[in-house]
This record gives sequence, C-alpha cells and structure tokens, in this order.
Amino acid sequence: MVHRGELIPAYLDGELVGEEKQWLEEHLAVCARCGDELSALHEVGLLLSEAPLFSPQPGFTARVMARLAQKEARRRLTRVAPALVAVSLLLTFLALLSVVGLLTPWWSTLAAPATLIELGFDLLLRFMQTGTTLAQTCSFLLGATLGALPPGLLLPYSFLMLGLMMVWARLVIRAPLPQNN
Amino acid sequence: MPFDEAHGREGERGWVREALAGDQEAFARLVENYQAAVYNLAYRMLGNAGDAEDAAQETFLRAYSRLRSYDPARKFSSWLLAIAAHHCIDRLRRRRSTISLEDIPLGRQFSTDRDPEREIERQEEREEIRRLLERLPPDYRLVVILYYWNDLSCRQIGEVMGLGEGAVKSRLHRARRMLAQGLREERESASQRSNMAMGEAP
Ligand SMILES: [Zn+2]
Repeated sequence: MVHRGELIPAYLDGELVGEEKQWLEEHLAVCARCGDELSALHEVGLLLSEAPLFSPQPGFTARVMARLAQKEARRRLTRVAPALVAVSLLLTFLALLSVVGLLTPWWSTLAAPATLIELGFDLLLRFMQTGTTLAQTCSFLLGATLGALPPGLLLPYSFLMLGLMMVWARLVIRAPLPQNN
Repeated sequence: MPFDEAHGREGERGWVREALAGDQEAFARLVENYQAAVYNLAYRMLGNAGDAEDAAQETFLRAYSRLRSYDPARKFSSWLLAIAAHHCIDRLRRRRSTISLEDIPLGRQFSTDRDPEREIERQEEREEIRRLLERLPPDYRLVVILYYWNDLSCRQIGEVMGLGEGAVKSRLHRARRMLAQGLREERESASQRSNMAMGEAP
C-alpha cells in the first residue's frame, strides 16, 4: 500500500484540495497506520496550542535594565580611557624630563673621573646637590599646588590624581574589568 | 503597561525612537512588553528556566546595542525574536559539545493553579512537551515555537529565519510529523511500562 504521510498535516489544516484530498480520504478509510498518524498529529496540535506562554520570574525588566546600566558604565569608561592615558603619558614624560635633567651632572662626573679621591668627593657633592634639588622641587611643587588650589579643591584634586593613577595602572597591568556576563 | 494592538505599532515605534535617543524608560517599556514572548521562546528552545532567563536577558542587551540597525518598516517583534532565535541556536550549538539536555534539571515554573492534582497533571504535560521538542533539530524546534507560541504566520516566521514561506511551511509540516511520531512512541512505551507494572497480564 502507498502511504503519503506528508499530505496529512495539510489535510488537518484544511489546506488539501482536489484529487489529493480525495485520494487521502479514501486511503484513510482503509489504512489504520495513516489514521493513527492523523490522530497523533491532531493531538500534538492540541497539546501545543493549549501550552501556556511561560513568563520570566517577576522583576525581569529591572534585571535587564541593571545589566544594561552596568554595560553602559563600562562602555563610557573605555571611551574616556584613551584621554586619561594621554594625560598620564604626558605627565610621565614631563617627570622623565626633569629626572634626565637631574641625572646629567652625575653622568659627566662618572664619564670623566680625575682621581679616585676626587671622584668620591665629587659623587658625594653630586649626591647632596641632587638631594637638595629634589627636596626643593618637591617643596616647590607642593607649595605651588597648595597655594594655587583653593582649600576646597584640594581633596577633589587628590582624588582625581588617585583615580588617574588607578586607571593608568589598570590599563598598563591590563587587569580585567569586573564582568558579569 | 498593557500593550493593545490598536495603537500598538505606533506606540512601539515611539518607544524605539525614544530608546534610540537615549531614553532608558522607553526601552524598559519594550522589555516589559516583549519579555514573555522572548522568555518563552528561550525556555522552549533551551528546555530549562536558568538558561532561558539568561538567554532572554542577553537578547534584550543585544537588541539595545543594535537598536540603530532596526528598520522601522519591519515589525519590532519579528526583529527581536530573530535576535532571540539566533542566540538560542548559538547556545545549543555550543552546548552540544559540553552537556546534554538531560543533565540540566528542569527549572520550576511558578503557577497560579492552586489545585495540586491539576498542577501535577500540568507538570507532566510540560515535561512531555519538553521531551517532544527536544527530539527536533533546533531550526525545526524554532519553527514550531514561533508558530504555536508567538502566533506568527509562516510568512512572518520566514522573515525571522530568513526563509521563504514555502520552506517554512514544509519544515512546520515535517516538524509536526516528527512530534506526532514522538508522541506515539511515548504513548507506546508508557503502555509497555504500565503492562510491566501489572505483571505483564495478558
Ligand atoms: Zn497509509
């Protein structure tokens, strides 16, 4: 016997017409196997159309919006990061310049030593000079900063520097940002 | 906020516009409206509540970041369900190499039904549907879900999946026949089990 099971879903949906419909109806009258398939298909249809639409646990929207806010904050951070890095690099460069300036006299002393005693004496002198210069520079910078900033801005300024250092460290060390997904 | 079809399309377009302009409230309203459609699709595709929650959240996050590419001439729900569908199929692909569905406990769904007997019956029906859907390859499962739960026509399913209407229809027919076959097998093995329990009485 020829079975044409592929026609049965269309028949069930009332989409089968003409000769095919007539053929299937005649076949169904004599074929138990296709009859079984028809009733199983019918049952599947009922089962699925009565199945409920599952909803998520309450508070779903809030959970999505919280994750979204997290993602946005991360995106904003990565957008300002290049600017912060540029500022950090500039500050580092300036700091290096003054370090080079401090080291030059050391280099000339070491490059052309006269006698051992003179060298020792020179180095001691250089050491004291460098120390004094560093201390002077620090006190000058500190004084200038303290003098230039109104007292109210001192704390925010310190936080800014701290934050800058943290971002710089994070980007240099490449520590992963906290991720929840 | 209830979603009525009458001014639904317009309101929906407005929400998309506002969300694009950076209004989070408007996007939250879109999430509120489509959470069940997306969550149910994920649940039926993936078979458990934990994965469904995660996949549904991920779908909305992706939708938000791709909102700019949404074409307002399309139905928003078709666009959103396409994102959900791709994400779920991706997950299934990744999962196949790690664990099978049987290893994942079925998440409990809360229900408003107070009658415990009816509740058990429903639980069994849910399990049966889950087992039946699991027999289908993911893209067939998707066609069935979009047709029966999201009430999409074959043409709309074609839009979601990037297929022609005819291809969707033949997949749907084949999927239904596979489900019917599964149902018959389930019934047969159930009656065999009960026969065995009755001491194989003639
Ligand atoms: Zn037959």
